[in-house]
Amino acid sequence: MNRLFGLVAVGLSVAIGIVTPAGSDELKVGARTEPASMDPHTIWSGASTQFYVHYLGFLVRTTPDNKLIPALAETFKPLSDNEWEFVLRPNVKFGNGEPVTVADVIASLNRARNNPRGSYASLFAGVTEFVEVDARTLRVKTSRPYPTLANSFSQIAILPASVIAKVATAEFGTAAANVGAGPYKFVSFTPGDRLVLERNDDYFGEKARWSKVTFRFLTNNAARVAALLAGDVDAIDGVPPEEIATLKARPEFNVLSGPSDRAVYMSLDTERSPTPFIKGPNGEAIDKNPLADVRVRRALSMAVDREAIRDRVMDGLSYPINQVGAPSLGGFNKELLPVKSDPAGARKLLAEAGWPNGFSLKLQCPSGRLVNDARICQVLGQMLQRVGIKTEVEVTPYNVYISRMTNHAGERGSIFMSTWASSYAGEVGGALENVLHTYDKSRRLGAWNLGHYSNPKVDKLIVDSAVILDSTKRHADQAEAMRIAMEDVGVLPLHLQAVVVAVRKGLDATIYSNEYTIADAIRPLAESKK
Amino acid sequence: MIFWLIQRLFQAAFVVLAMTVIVFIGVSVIGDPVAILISPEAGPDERERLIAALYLDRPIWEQYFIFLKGVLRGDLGISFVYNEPALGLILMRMPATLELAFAALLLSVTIGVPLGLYCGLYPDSVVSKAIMTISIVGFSLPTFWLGLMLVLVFSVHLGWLPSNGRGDTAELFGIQWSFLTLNGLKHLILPAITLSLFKIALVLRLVRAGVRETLPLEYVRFARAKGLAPKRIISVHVLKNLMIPVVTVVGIELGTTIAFSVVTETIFGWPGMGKLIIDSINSLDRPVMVAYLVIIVLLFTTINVIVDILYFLLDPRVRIQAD
Repeated sequence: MNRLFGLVAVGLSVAIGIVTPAGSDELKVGARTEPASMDPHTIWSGASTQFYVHYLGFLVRTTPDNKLIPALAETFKPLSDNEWEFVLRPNVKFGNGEPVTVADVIASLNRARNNPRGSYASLFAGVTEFVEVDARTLRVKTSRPYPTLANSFSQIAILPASVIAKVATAEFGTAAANVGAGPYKFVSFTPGDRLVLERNDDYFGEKARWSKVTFRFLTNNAARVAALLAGDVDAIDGVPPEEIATLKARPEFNVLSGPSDRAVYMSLDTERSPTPFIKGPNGEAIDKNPLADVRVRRALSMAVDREAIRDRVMDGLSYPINQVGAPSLGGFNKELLPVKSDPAGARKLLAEAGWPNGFSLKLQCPSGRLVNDARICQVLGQMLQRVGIKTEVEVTPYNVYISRMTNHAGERGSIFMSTWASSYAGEVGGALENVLHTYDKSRRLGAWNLGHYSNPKVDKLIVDSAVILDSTKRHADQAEAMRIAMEDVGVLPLHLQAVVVAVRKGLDATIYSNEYTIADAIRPLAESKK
Repeated sequence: MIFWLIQRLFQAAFVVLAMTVIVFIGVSVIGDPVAILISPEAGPDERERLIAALYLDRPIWEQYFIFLKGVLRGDLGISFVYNEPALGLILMRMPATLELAFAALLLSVTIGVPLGLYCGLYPDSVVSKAIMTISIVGFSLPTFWLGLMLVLVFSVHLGWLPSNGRGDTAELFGIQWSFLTLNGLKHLILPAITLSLFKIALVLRLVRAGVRETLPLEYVRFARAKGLAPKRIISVHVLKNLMIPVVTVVGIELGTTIAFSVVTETIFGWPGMGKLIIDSINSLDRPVMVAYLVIIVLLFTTINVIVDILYFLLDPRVRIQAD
């Protein structure tokens, strides 16, 4: 459908001039998602938080490359191994005129933590107590060192305690509940349609760029692009790869892109023998799991041509990697370079490992969750076929797929697509703890380690580094843990996705690697060149 | 008539009940909503807390019983994702969908009936043949393609109409409607045309076939012999008789449009309930799925009852039978 649309768009686009509203101080953004819930303490998801940060108050905010900057909290630092201190900025008021106090902060944190139907509680793991030292000073006690506590708190909106006391979740679609202290003010929200914001002139920080911002929820790719082409919106996010060439070819639009924190990789079942979806070369049952042998896993990684995927499947917009991390994250290992495609070497390694005739396997992927997920899967199948592994590809809708793959006690898969973004932690620690640490339900580790990779050396580095407050040292240990895990090919990394934004002529946009679309990151070209 | 109506209502209630059982079993076999709702790094205790809060730890018959108890209080469950009453979520989006569906219905009847009549009365004229050929296009174009083409031509290329959204709305009976403002009407045109093209073709063909069938019948000849004016023969005798199949089909089509106009709604960013059901299927939001289907079944049964009543008024034979 998008292909067809793109072709026709090219055909029609000859010599069309788009009228740009001159001197407008209003920004309209065509957004790829709609907030899952307007209640900021219910479902924790970056796709919703990107809206909240516009109009609600936050203790700490993040920059495009995941650095923390002070917001409601003027300073934030660990006092000791088990205590953090946040000091609020003086004289800051909520939209309703009430001053922002520690009591409000504690009420908000508790609401997010204790919502029985919410999913923020995991951010508070290890937090034991909130202490109100005075109206401006909050101390957070933890049972163990929590180096990324401030990152976690950058996810939680701060509302006035008086509002929390009286509003219900359903009221978060209205201005009554959305009393904030952000750069913008909430005006209105229409489900399935739009979120309207206006500049908050009382904001303590740099004043917002736009007097009015409208996010239009246009979840259909073709419709979002059409809205930009028609001049109904000034910018769109989540530009579908197949439309990028069309938009780039036209002088009325600017396309901007950068790497996301989201790593896409294949999970490998290294634990079970035999594994359910790998059979012998002729489809016969075998009692061994070839993936248990690191040589086979390396051969698979060498069989994959990540550059071909980037150029042929992703229209040039992916960033090959060899770790579950991104350059914008702390602990990124610069020395881990993407594995080069080497089919001959892969065949040799397979023969060495005792599989000269290969084996047959079923590759499993979701559809509609990651950019071009189903197509990547098909291409991977062909690449494995090329080194003598008979590959069958199975693509399943995301809701069914995810239920099956995350059931640690269930069948899961043998080789299947998975993804992780550590933006919320600001460093690769998130991926290490969840994707590469041995699965350990009781210690909340390895929850996303769906292939059950396990290396005690890696586990020790991960657990030890997680309580080091010195970030340089912590990041060095994380990089080392990642190196060992990747030497083991604990998972098979493919690439980082790209964040792609398209704007009308005369505008520029800064790319947030955490995939947030921020109104003030879109500015007139003249201003951004200063 | 009253007895008949009560009978129909009982039937409808039974259908709704049977449907909830089927839907309840159906939605519980696909996927695990907790896997989608909860963040990956949540610990086992949070997981269990959420599972308990959503009653997912109970056996299915008990979940169904909890649901039925809620229904008696007018509560169709609370959305897993939005954490708001499912019924409210759907009703909030309903006016937009109803508005679009009725606009499409209006177009299909006001355009389809006269054109069909013309084609039936003058089957051999060049114009009729042209109309019939074009109507094949109306039948065969997929909605999403048609919608995108209309956007490309009228929004992107010509810039006459907005590409998406509902535009300005005005209040009537406490609900926001687009058709009351000029800007809203402009937003309504493209999606309504997209939805109605198929229906226009359908109505047109039905009416044409009806006219061709009715004209040679005895009573028409008799009317002619009696010297009635052709206008009166067509508008009273012919049209009234061929309206029965048209009413049936239009009724079913209206229900389908309200329930399943999701493609048109996504292409035009129309904030209706079609988008809600697709989102809730993707996020396995069971209460919304169940509530939506309950409402849709109610809607279809209501439409069926209305269609039956219209039969009653249009066809004297039905009245005689009922008596």
